[in-house]
Amino acid sequence: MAPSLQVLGVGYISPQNQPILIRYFSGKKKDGLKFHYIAHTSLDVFEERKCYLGLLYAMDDFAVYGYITPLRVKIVLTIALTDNLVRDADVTMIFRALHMAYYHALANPFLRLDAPYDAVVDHTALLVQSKTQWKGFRRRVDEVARACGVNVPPDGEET
Amino acid sequence: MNSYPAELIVQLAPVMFVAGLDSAANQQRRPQASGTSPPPPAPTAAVSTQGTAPVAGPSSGSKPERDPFAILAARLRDALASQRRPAVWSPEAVRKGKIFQVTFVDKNVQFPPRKLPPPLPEAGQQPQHGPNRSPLSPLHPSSPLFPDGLIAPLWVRKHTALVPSVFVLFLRLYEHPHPPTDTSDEEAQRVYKEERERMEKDRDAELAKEISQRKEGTNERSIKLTVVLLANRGMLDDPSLDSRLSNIRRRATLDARAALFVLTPVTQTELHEFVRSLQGALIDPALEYYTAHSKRVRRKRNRVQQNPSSVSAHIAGQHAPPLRPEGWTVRYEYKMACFAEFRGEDEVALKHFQDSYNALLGLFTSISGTLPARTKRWAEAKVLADCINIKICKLYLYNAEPSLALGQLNSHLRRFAELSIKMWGIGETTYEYWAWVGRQYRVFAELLEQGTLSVPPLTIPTVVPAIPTANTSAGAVPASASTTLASSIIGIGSLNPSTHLMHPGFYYAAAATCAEKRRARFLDALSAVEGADTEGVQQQPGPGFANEKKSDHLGTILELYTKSYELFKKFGPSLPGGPGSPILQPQDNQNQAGQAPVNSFSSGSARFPLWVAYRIALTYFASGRYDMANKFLERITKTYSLRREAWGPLLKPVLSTWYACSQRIGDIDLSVRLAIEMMLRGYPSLGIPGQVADGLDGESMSLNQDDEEDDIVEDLMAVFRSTVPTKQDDPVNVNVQDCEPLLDLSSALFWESTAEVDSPMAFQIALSVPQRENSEGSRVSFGLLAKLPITRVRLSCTPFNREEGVGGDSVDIVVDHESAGDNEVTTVQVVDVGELVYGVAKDSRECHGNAHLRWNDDDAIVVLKGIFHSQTPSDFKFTSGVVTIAEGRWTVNVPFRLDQQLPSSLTSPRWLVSLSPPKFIPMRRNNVSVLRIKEKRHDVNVKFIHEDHAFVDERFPVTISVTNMDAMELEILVDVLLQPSEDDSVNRIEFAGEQSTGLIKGVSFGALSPGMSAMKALYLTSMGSGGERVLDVSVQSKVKGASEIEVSSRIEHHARAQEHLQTFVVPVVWPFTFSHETTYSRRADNPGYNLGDLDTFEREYWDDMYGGEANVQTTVTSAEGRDSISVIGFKFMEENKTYSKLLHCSIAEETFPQELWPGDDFVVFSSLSLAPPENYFIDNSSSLPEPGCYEISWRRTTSMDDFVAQTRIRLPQIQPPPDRLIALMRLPSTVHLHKPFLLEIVLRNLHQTRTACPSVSLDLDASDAFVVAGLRLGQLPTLLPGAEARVSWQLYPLECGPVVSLPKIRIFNKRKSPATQLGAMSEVASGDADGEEEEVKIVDVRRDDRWSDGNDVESTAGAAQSEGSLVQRFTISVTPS
Repeated sequence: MAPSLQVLGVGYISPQNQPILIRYFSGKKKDGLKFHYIAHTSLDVFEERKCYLGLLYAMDDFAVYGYITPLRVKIVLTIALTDNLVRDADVTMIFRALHMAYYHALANPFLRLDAPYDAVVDHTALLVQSKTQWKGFRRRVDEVARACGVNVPPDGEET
Repeated sequence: MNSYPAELIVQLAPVMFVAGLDSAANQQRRPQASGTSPPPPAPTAAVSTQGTAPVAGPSSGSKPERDPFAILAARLRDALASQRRPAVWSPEAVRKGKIFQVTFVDKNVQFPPRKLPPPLPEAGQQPQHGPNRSPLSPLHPSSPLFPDGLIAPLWVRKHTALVPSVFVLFLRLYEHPHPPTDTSDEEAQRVYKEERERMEKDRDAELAKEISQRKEGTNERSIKLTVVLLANRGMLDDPSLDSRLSNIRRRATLDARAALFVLTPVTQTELHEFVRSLQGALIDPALEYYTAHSKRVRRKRNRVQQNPSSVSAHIAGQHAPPLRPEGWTVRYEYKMACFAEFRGEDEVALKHFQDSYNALLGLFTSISGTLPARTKRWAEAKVLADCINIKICKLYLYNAEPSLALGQLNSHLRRFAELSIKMWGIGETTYEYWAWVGRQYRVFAELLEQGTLSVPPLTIPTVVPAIPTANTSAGAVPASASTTLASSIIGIGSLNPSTHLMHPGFYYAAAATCAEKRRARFLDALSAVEGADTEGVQQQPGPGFANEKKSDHLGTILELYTKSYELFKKFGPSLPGGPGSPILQPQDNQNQAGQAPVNSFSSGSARFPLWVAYRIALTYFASGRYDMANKFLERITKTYSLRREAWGPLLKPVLSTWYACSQRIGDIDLSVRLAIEMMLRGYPSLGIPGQVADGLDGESMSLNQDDEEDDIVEDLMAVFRSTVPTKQDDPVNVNVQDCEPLLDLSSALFWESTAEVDSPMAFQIALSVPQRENSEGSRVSFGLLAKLPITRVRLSCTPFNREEGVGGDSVDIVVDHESAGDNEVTTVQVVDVGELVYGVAKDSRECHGNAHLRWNDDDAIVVLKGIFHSQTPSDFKFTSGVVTIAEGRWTVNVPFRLDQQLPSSLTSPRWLVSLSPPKFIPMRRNNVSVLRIKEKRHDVNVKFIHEDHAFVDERFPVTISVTNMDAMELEILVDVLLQPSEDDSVNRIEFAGEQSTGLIKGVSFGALSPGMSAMKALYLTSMGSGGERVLDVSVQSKVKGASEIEVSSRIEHHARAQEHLQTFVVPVVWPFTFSHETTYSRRADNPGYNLGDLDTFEREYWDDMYGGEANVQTTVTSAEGRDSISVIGFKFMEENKTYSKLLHCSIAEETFPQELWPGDDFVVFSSLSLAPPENYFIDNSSSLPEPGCYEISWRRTTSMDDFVAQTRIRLPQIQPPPDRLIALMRLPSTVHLHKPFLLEIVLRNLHQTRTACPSVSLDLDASDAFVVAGLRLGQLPTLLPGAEARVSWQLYPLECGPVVSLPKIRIFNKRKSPATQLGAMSEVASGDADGEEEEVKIVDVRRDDRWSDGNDVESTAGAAQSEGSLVQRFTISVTPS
């Protein structure tokens, strides 16, 4: 994994533009809003470019990259703005790992344990209602971040 | 950009001074005023339409249009001035377009002195002996830069405003008045001519003198002087003009090139053309001018670099240290950069600016501390550095290198921030630092903005990977596109995001953020100073504190954010019309609702502007302009809510701020509404007001969740207790869109999904505390409802139509709070609300219950249970509810909708089945919260009466019996649909006189009184094969007379036509089964072909020589286990007579009618003569077509119907076996003793190709009972294929007996063996050419019977036959005579 990228946060957004998971690794609770804003404003760029991945925008001290999965889930990656070149291959690798994390989390059959029989097949329903089962998902995302060299706060539980 | 001297950042352009265009009047008046030999006006001048020299020149202001030269001058001024205005950003077309920066000056304008001697020394100082120097040089003691300044804006101004590169002088050419009209007077003509020449000469001399005076000034500075002489058009044709012009040029020592023009009053377009050509002619001298300056400066710089001490040596000993060599480098490089910029050489300018910048940086970083912090020179140098930075950025942008531009900005920020912190002690905790950073961002943003506004605009780059446009243009992001995404990203390579240029809105926002930080630091400093004051400690405020105090921080922040907001909107996604854009729909809603009071957020989905708008609102809030903040927050909230994208965490601070704002405004109702809305959205705390203050301290996006947050419920309670609503009598309605209801009502359940009118259906509604999650996804439990004084919950159940939506009156459940002691409150409360009835009188459309409406426990549930009835059919669901909160003098109704919840839930609703212990079962069916009430069914009994099976071909009767079991008289209509059968056979139904192969509609059974039945017969005729026939019967019932008689609403729905659908299946079987057995026999009586007989060629000639006879035995078996069948008729239907014809059929007419019981057999025998076609035997698999069929007329014995069914049994295909050489023996069946009879053998060569050579032998034993007359042994003629030979014997029977053996007859067919044929050559000598003899089978025609494969029936039946020998002994019966 690319040690040159300093991953600050990760956001997953459903095709309906609802947040699925907003994760940040600063460990400071007050950053929560910032990363929500980053993910939310990224949607502007996603919409502007319709189908895009790569650098969405750079601001203050961070750069935001975006990725759309085949099922139109958007993944937003926030990295620290340094003066280094960011290789797209590295970003793609992280995105793939994040995509796989999402994919594996979604494959958890217990997500649907209590679902009504007529529950829609749409995966986003499972996502948006981020129940406690998503602990596993968060853990996977944290693993990806750790692999990128991020010092993830223990178990990510600030509360 | 106002923060910097305009001179240092403005785009430089070659400067042109234009004189003489003040106005026509001035121009005319001035020569007169100067008093240099004013020409006496000619007496005839009055008639001159040219008005060259009116005595009292009209003022140019009053009637400028009268004077063409005044108009010309004004137009020239406009044309010249509009070419180029001073701007920071110049589009390339302007920069490279040979366009001058025009300044209008007086003709006699003086240029600033080039060099001045040092000023006179003041008292007590040494007189200075130095060379004359420029008054702007740091070396000149009276210079503002003396002794160590770098460069002053004044220097730039000198070159832009005080000294031109070219000087254009507009002057009037003298024109003598027109000659006298009287041409005959030669004397007058001569006088006039002399006068004119004299005047012209004088005036031209004056003109030349004026020009040469002017030229002295310009020559001194190598400035190109160009004179434009204004003259009338007529002057151009004057023959003396050329000589006058050359005279003027010579006298004024003007240059040969581009120094003298003549201009006449022309049209606007021609004027522009002139201006263009003038500039085109002058651009080269201008560039030369600036190049000369550059060269001069370069020489000086080289001198400094070669001999650093040379500069400072002159003024050594001054009290202030002189400018260091590095300083001189900065100065000279800057000058060279400016001159390059004047010339429009961007690359050269960039290079010099960079050198200058680097040298300047060196000055700052030099350890010797040449620029101590906070000195005047330090401040000047800093400003210079910032300005050069902007220039470099701009030049990069000109050159379309945005990332280099941004990189320059970044490095500038980084280096100077480093210097600031490390060397000057101006760290991030100072407002000065943030003011400086903010200024950099702001100037950069302004530069970008100017660039994007210019024509053509500066393009902000977007990194778009090379996705195939075919995919993207379709607007879809299908899986195929996404696969290309993954591959294309690799192709982009790499990118430094920090040098990726964004649109100026981002930099304005960054500047605004810096301004916020600046304000926060200032407030810190202010509080420190004030704190010190109160404590009586004298604390020195930081430098610049007084200035900082004066600045309008909030105004600046607001201005920056507003600019940023506008730019974000401008550069935001342009969604409308984009195919496949995902959130068009909420956007449309928003546009309808979008009457924004302050800003219309009409760009819709743009989220960046929304964020900026929130910052603006916060700024308004911080500056105490709560009304503005209120408006903004209202719009923001509405936009967020309308979007329905569930970004709750973003809305929380907005609502919190708005809540604080509403409190500041004093809008109690609003604050109550907001508090409740926040509760509904699940924000347990306010986070106010500290959040707002923090929000502006530069931590621009912070979600404050401090521990000391106020509990919103307590806050609300305090409001309730201490205030009264504005309208005291009415309850306050708090209508909150798009958020979850206060109570979790997702489980309003009906036990079953459908019920009939008037039949009860149980329902349960569980009221519980909503369980929400915070942004990290962990469950948030909050005890909001425990403290909230909920007094009543009202739930409405509404009929709705799936297509039209909700409609109709609702029926309500009202649950009032009834306080219970702590011990009595259980986790699960069950309240029986009784019956909820829809459709009766309106006043009873409610049912009541009481419950303890406090949820102290997260798991606490109040289950309302009851029974629902409806008297009208419809769909019902609980659509809305109202929670009433009452406290003090407040009554607040919180309505909410139940039918707009999240589309799907992951947890099934649960139905309480047991209270102790509480036990729930999940309801997993579809739409548990919707009940469909159906109409009551008409009680109609439909029966089908028929036999248990039908026969194929039978007209099978089915009796449809409809019985009205209902209490009302019903009209019955019946439709019958016969489903197509699986095979292709076409079946048929008959019903009420109609016949159809499919549908028979609308057969009326009439009106049936209660208890009455009606029956009708349906006939089904099944063709084809057996199997099942499917009939759909639809019985429609309608209350008789429903349309005419007015019915009460109660039975209105019941009166509607109802349909009862029934399907029944009729098994169909064959009435008979049958089998065929076909044998073949040969015939010998036919003579075969006789080519000599003409009959052979007749059409009806029948030749069965090859075919013989076919005997078909058909066994018909009545279907086992079914009804007995009466066979009425049975006949053979001959169909195909070409190759076969019926010889005999065993059917006897008198046999029928005959009854067949199940399992009875009935055998029919038919023999057919066959005449297969010639090619029949060539192909072994061929067969002759079916010769016909048996038609059986029959009916069911028990049937009352006189219908006779007809079933056909087709005969099998006929396959007569092939033959080769065959001997057919003919003899009578019985002979009499001693009576001779003839035994004939017919030898037929039926082989298709081979010749036969038969020989015959008859062996007569002694024991034989016959006397034979005929051939005993002999060769028969050779038989060609198809030929036949006959051999006859006469026999006398000598014995009697039933079975008397005939003499042994053998026939051989001699063939050459293959070996013989092969060895014929060698064996010829031996003379043995016999070869092999093959015995030919003799067939007794009387008994011939074969299967289609050629085997004899008898032999296959088990008759012993000695294999390998064809020797047969035939017998005959001999009777006594």
